[in-house]
Amino acid sequence: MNLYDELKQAVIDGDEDMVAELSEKAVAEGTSPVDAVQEGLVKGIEVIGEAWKAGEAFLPDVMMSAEAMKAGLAILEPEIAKLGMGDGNVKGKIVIGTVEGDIHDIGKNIMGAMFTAAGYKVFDLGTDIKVEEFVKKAREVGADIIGASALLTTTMIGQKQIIQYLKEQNLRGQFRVFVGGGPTSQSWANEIGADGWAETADEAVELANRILAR
Amino acid sequence: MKIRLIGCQSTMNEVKWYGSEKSADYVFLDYTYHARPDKLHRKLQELIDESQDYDLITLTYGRCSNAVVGLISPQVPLLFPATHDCIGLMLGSNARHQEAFKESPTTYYFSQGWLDYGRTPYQEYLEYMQKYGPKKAGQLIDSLYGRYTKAVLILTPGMKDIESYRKRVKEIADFFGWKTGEMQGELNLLISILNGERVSESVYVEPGQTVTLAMLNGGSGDENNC
Repeated sequence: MNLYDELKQAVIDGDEDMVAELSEKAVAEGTSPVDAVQEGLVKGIEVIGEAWKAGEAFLPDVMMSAEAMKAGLAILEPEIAKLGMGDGNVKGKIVIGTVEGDIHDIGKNIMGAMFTAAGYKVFDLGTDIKVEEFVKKAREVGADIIGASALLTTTMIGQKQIIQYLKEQNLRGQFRVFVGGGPTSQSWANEIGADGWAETADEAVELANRILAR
Repeated sequence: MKIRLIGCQSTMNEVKWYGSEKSADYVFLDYTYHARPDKLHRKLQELIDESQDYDLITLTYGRCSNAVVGLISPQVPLLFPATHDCIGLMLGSNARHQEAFKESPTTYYFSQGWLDYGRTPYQEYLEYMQKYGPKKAGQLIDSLYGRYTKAVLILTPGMKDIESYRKRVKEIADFFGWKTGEMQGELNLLISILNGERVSESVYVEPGQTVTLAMLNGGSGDENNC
């Protein structure tokens, strides 16, 4: 098994320590950090993502794989930056958070990790985030996308409020707004005028790639 | 009137306590569907399709992460609560649920059924301990429940041995360092559904119509109800 396959397998196993060890090894051996992420970490998380969709993996498995991937990214990302592929060359900047009143953060964390792995600069505000905080951070960092997560039918209104607030502040044109989370849907995104909705984190990344390439 | 009731284990005790004089046929689905709205949707549709020889199909499911959106019953009307989930149903209305939610969004609610048939956060921790060891179990449980601050037990009629439920909630709360509280349940909405009665906080769907988000919004008249 080559290093990429080992990284992939360690992510599938949710073995944080092994991923960290293999990532260090990749750096020490002068392996391309970009390839280690794309051919190793991302391939692993894709396998787990597919298994989750098929009902073959359980939430803890997905969570641990995402944590393992993050452990690898923490080592490989700075190496990518050293190659001059850092901030100036990031695909885009995304501010993410879970809307006010909602403290679910697992899906958002997984999405954040996927965006990081795909070469985006991610600013994760955390959970229970007020509309103003999303927008303040997005302005501060010059974000391309605001990604708002909601896991409750009682809180998804917060996603609509972000769009309304942006309009009120005459900022709607500056940021794309992505929404997601269990109770949300494409029709909800259409209804509130969001720029994107995706069911899974990898689909969200693909969507961002397409939209920002326009 | 022949009623088919498709319920969740979370409200099973209350349904059985009330019983039904209208000869409803019950089927109760496992609580684990709670976390998989896509699967719940498919299961509900399957059961609805199998129940087309009844006069009415009732659900004890509310929006439940929009799992009910898109359901269609070709020949038989559907009736279910317009609440966001079983917490609203146990508390009697969305308005009451929202009020409690605004007061404390970091409350984890326990119903009798959740304690009896569900998997509590503490049980989950014990399972992860066994499967993944203490370090990972701690991380997982912290991601899942670390942000809650309070456990509230919803008291509903027909609860036997309330003290044992209190004790269990206290054990869970102590483990996580949460405060505890109680709320009195209100079952009028559930009872009206069981009796096949249309009320303001229920959704009645004509045969052949698809359940839409707009129907769910109509239930409470609360415009914030997305």
